[in-house]
Amino acid sequence: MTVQIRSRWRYRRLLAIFWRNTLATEMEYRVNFWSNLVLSTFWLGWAALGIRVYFRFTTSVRGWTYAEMLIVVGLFFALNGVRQALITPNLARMTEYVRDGTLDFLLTKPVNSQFMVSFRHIGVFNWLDPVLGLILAFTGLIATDQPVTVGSIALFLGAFLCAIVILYAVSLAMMSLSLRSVSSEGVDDLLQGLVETSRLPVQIYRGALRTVFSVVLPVALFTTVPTQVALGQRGAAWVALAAGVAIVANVVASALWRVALRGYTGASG
Amino acid sequence: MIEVEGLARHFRVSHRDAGLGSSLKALLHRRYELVRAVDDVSFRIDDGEVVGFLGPNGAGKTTTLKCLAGLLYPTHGTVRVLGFTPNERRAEFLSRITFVMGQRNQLFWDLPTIESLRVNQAIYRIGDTQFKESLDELVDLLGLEPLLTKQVRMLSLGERMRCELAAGLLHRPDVLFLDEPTLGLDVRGQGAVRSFIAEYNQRHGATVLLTSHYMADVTSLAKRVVLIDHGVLRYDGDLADLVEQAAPFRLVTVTLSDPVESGVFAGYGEVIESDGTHAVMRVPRAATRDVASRLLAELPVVDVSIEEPSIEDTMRTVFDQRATDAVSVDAARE
Amino acid sequence: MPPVSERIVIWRSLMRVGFGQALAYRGQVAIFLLTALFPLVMMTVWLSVVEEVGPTAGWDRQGFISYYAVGAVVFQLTTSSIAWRWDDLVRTGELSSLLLRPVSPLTQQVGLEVGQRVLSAALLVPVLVVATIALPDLSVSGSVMNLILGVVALGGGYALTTAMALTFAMVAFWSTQSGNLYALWWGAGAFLAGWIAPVSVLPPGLRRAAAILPFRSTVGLPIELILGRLDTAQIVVGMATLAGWLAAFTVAVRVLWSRGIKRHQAVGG
Repeated sequence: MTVQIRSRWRYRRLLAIFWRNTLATEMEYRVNFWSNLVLSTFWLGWAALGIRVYFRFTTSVRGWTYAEMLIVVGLFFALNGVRQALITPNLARMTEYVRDGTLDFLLTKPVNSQFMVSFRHIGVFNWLDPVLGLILAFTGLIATDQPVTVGSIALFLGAFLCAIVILYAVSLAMMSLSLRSVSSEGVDDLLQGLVETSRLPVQIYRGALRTVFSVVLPVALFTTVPTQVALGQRGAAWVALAAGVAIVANVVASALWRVALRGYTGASG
Repeated sequence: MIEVEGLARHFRVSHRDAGLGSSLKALLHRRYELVRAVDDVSFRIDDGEVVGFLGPNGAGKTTTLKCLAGLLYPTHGTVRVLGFTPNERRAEFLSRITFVMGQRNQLFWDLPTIESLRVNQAIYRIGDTQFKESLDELVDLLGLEPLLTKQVRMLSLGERMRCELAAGLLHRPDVLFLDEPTLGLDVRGQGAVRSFIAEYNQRHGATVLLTSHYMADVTSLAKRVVLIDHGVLRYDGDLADLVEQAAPFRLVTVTLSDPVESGVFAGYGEVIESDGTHAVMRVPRAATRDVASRLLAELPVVDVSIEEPSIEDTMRTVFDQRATDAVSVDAARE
Repeated sequence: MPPVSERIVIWRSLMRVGFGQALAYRGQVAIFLLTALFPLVMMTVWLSVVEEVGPTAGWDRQGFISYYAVGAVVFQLTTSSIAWRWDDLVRTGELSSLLLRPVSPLTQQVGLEVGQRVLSAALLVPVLVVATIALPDLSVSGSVMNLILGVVALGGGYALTTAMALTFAMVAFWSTQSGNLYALWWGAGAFLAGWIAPVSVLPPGLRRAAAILPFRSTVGLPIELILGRLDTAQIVVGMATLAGWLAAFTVAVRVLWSRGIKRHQAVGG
């Protein structure tokens, strides 16, 4: 037990060290810091206004009003921000790791390899995106005149947290993939594409695509379900389902990573 | 022909202390400092010469090379290479030089080496016959045969460096700027690069200016060295003369059969280390023979040896001497 | 400046390498094909709108399907990543290697990218042709003349995007913000280019802006030409706008390049 606590401590300290280094390095470019702030706000407005065009001709698309869709867009923005801040900086480096031998170096560390490749870097300039996205989501929520309670907000945030954890699992699975003959920049494009599809509620999609996005891929759980939870259209059972999916996805992704790693250490000379 | 006259190159560099607090502070305010990477350098290199360009890290070697290759404007002074002013970056000039940087990769990473060479053929406008001839020669000298069709990312560091050299020399340049061409290579790799450079210089009479951390590169390739430290020229001339001039002594090592009092050695030279039966002394060059025969005559000598001080030691002596009276102590930018 | 025949040789060999690079990872190609489908998401939203309220601003179901199908190809062909890449080239010092060669680094970079676009076209155009034949809702009703003009506009559109991207790329010589500035420019342009939606469904103010600014020439113009939705007067005005902006940005790139390279030699490479 004490060993476990101590090791948990160690991981937390490692994180602090990794991220502080990144912060310091990135802040070298001071103008970047400010301009990225401007850029984040710009893209948020872009996302909110981009879907406005549809509502020039109608008040609701597939049962979604503009205010409701703003919640989805806000969550998308927040989730995409998490992707850019936490996932991409690590995912995009996988090819480089393999290329310059850093991966071998990481594997020799007495620390869980999955942890090392997943959390070594952060993108400091998107840290505000999740905050901005959530602000937009709450703005949308207030605009819907939906009664907001502490309970509904807790469920909503819980559902969104599950979305983040699921996204992490997907990215880890993709990282495992990029150990094999795929450039990880491309894998990041794919992940971005997947998150992009959650910019809009899944009800927008039709036919087979909708089935794929709601059943096969966890797109519905990214933004649509949390929004519906906030709107009171879906209950706690859905949050529990999301949590279940998050756990299973992580177990599977972790296993995939180990398999890929075995293939990697076996193949490289 | 390379002519450098009063070359100076200064940079403005921002400063910040370590730690998160100061990086936050630096977001708002930043301090700058003037760094004289190269301050006053003049030299002249004739066609076909091989010159070693030496100096500690940050001495200004790379900056000088960049001025010679036209990547940087001189702050003061003039530079002429093959009759051109490098910073004008005329195509005729660029077609006659090459600048190979040991740490930089100009090959297309995901493609077989031959593709990069073909692109260089087009870019340097090399005719098909000349391309073939040049390529055959490089393949022969660098042992590229098995590497040409391999993807660059699959090559080892040594193999990649050989391919880099091939890409850099395909157009048969008259002037070669080589910045640490053997960096990170193993002994065999270093040897291969070295003998290639020597061979290329012999065959084509090319002028070579090379920097290296490995003294063996310089001693085996260059008769002449240019020493630069803190942006200032310290020495320009024969490598052998440098040793003579900077270290006008030899090292005499004696081993005795019976111990003597340690004070005894002081009568023969400057003692560097000694115990009763063993001593190393610095002896003025001219007196070496004299001292050796006196040692043999006067002491119970088992063994005596006379050595030249190593180039590394000599260089260290030169730089240590000058560092104390150097005006600028800035870490120059490479 | 080398004679034309030698310039052709240079461009051809650069394009071949760009083509080869894009093909180097098979996984990457598959991912590219998937991400190219992304505009179809926007299409589904419009199909929902049309289904609920009928044709909008002259665009019916068939119109939107055709617009986004052709758009999916045009988006990929008239895009440029050179502004971001240039940022890296300057920051990592890789530009120095390019500067040592007797051909402009601009040519070297653009040549590679054109090669990639050729590969994109080779992958996407056949898919579009097959889809046009197979799907009754997808109709390209322009005349042969329209099609030819559309292809010309496509080439011009790529040239204009590249010229705009390079103009911003040159800013990298003075500021580290060139990539971000270009992102703002691109983001603002996406509304007016026909990327988010056909220009004619935008509000009147944006429509007027789109007619004057360069963006529509890079996306909306080639799509609508290929679809045969423009009359002669519109075609003439559209092509003239494209040519005018292309000339303006080409001059801008030349001026900024010659100044920028002097500055680069002055501050250090």
